[in-house]
Amino acid sequence: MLPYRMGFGGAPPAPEAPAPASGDEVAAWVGLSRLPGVGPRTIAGWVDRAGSARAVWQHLPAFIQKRAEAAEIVAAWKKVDPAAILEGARSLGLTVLVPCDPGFPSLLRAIPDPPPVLYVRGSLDEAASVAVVGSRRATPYGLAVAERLAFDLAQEGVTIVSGLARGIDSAAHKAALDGGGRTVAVLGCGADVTYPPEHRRLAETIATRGALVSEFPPGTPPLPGHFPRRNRLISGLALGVVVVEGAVDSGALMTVDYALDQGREVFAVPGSIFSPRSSAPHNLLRQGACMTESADDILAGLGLGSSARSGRSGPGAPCGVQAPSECAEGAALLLALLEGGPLRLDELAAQASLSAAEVGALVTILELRGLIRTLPGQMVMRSPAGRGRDG
Amino acid sequence: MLAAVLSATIVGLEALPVSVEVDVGPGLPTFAIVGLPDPAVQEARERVRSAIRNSCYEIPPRRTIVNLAPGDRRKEGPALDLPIALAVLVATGQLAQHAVAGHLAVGELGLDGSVRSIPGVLAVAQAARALHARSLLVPEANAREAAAGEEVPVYAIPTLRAAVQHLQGTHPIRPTQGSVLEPPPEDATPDDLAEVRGAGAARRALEIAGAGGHNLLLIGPPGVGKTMLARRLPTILPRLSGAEAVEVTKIYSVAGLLPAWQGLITRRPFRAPHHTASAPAIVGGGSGVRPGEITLAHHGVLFLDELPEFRHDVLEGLRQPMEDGIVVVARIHGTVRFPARFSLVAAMNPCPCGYRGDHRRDCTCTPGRLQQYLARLSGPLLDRIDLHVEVPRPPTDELLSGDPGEPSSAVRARVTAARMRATTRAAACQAEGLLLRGPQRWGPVSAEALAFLRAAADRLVLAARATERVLRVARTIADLEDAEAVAVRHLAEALRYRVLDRWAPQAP
Repeated sequence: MLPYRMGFGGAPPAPEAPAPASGDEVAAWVGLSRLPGVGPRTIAGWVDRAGSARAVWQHLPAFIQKRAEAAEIVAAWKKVDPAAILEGARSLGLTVLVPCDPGFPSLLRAIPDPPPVLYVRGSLDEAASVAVVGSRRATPYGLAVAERLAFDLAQEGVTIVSGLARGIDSAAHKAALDGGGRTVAVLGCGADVTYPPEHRRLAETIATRGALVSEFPPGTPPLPGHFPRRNRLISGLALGVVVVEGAVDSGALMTVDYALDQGREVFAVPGSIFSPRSSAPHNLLRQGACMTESADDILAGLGLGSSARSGRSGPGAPCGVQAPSECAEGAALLLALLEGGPLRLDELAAQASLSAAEVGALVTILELRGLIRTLPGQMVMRSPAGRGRDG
Repeated sequence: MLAAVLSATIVGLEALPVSVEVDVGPGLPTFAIVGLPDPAVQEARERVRSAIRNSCYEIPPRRTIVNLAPGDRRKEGPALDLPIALAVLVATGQLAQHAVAGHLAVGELGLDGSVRSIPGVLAVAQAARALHARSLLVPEANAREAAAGEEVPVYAIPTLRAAVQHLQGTHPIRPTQGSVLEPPPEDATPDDLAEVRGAGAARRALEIAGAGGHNLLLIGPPGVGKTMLARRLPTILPRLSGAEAVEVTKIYSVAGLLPAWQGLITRRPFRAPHHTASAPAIVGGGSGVRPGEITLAHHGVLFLDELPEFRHDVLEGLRQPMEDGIVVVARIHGTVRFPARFSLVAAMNPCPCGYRGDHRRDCTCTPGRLQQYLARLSGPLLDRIDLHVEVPRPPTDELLSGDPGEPSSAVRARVTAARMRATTRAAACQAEGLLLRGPQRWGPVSAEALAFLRAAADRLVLAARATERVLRVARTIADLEDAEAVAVRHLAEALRYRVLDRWAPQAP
């Protein structure tokens, strides 16, 4: 299931994994992460100088005496109770990882500003991973692309990293799960908080077949300022970032900036030149991002190679509905037409030269068999699980 | 001297016969009206006095009592002016009692003695026949309507003086010719389904709604032609039969919405009340117990645009009439039943901003707001709407260059044929004394189709009632195709029209 291990790709070599952190050490990292105005880079620098987080925590005033806001930091230092935060997180079933933990993702440890603390719901592993990011208001085309890529990558054993947002993010998570793979969601709120709320069920599933990850302590609300910081973890946890759709000012571009800082590969999927959602990937392509049409392009770009596709073993589509013999021909025709991308129901009827009644019946049958999906606005598209089979 | 003239007043949709008795006797000169008159009837006093004087008759200065029998029922409106005036003339010896005996008169009087139109004349004509009246005297403007039912000889009365001279036989008026109760010719309609381009799925749903009498919900962004589609449903329904036309005309007449000089209404009504309408306006009621929009849509189409914006009590009030085809309005003065057998077409935006699934504009709604919006539709009401269909925005070139769609007449032929088949099948079942239960209740279903329905209901998590609706719609689709048994393709198509059951909160 997980044929690739870390180290094949273009990512920088990870530092040696340290010995498991003691309780005090973890608490010290947690404490440091709660100091106001002190960022991950500063903390990393202090810990380097002092040799351990515990040493920094114990002698904190010495580290900050030159800073303007020293009084404020000292006040927070006296107030923060790291043990309580740690206890709270563990009682919620969260795993608390700090950079010196062997379980801390080695890719993340290597970025310039690794998070001092990682709260994890579920489990992380070191399998090769790819981030799929894009617009929250995606077009049917964008959703279809995200689903196809995530599904195929998942079937190749690649973990899909994304941000649990609406649109492309959640489509990628779901398709990865459908493809029988693992997926990691990086949150801009506490790992015990679900945002957006309608993804609660999705989040529960991810917790069992991957992980929900956050650098914010439990209970943190999803404030707008959290999401840029979250984006650096999305790229940091992945070998490469695939941008599916986004406008010029898209948050996906921020993830790309982090990816470039962190030395990650950037992939972009072209879209329609008529859609404003295509401008972000098209700009990236112009600047030299990897042109991406399929999961193979991504695997090749990351040096993971392409495996023989025979014997794929994704979970079958739920198939309690038998296609009646009378419909087989029309169903095959519709599936063939939908290979070219999503179509409106009326367009589908026109291209297939079928009446609205016939198309309506066929689409329902194919939908019940899990081969296609319909979206608001009567858009019909093939579901990723349905490709490669006929009606 | 005592006089009596026959007349009628409107209660609900029906005319209640009223005997107008006038006694003129000695005493102080007064003019009193008794017998539960409403203010409009009270004011008849002034109109009648002026009209008689200005028609060159006299009101002697004596004590005049007008009694409206039966005395326990409320009389409304100015329709009793004419009979009161006639009765006064009889009581004062200016007209013979035998001249008015057996004639039924209604009409509002002007001060100059002219006779003005009144609502509800068709109902009065039916009451006149039930009473075996010799003739019916109505205002000129209402004569065609009164004669439409071919109930009794109808005379069009222009003025009070003309009425008197007609009854005396000095200047008889010719009876108004009734329109024959053949299927009435339909008025030329500007609306035709041929004008609707694209929207294949919605057109199809409209046809199914027409063929099976199913209620329909159109879901689509603003300006895609939901109202245009709904407006054309009456044009594909079978023509009104003569009896139906009389019913519809009666309702419009009582509501005062029938234009003067109009005979029978021959086109199926289309009513589109605004979403701010109150419950009495939609369901019926108010102080005068007037028919509401659902009764005005009887044998026609009730169109509710922006369905989620309607008040909750209004939508709840629709449930019972949708089930029974009748609405019962209870008031202090008694209970009134109005017919309300209508086809409901509702329309709504796919989301609060209206642009969900639109390829031209982005939707700005959060899933939370969308859920709130959908939750405004009450489940029991949605349960009674068999067909939900999306009307997406068509590409502009399809609007400009697309071929004209199929004309209404062609669709109407199929719809009429399908309705015939359904009626024949129901009659056959009844003749054989079959009381059918289970999925075969609406006709045969193939074994393969039953298995398919079971699997689909599992997969889509359909409630029992929704499954039943799917089966009924599939039956109508099979009837449109002239198929004996419901097959898989019929069920599969019927399942398409359950959009709202599929809009699960977890959609990406």
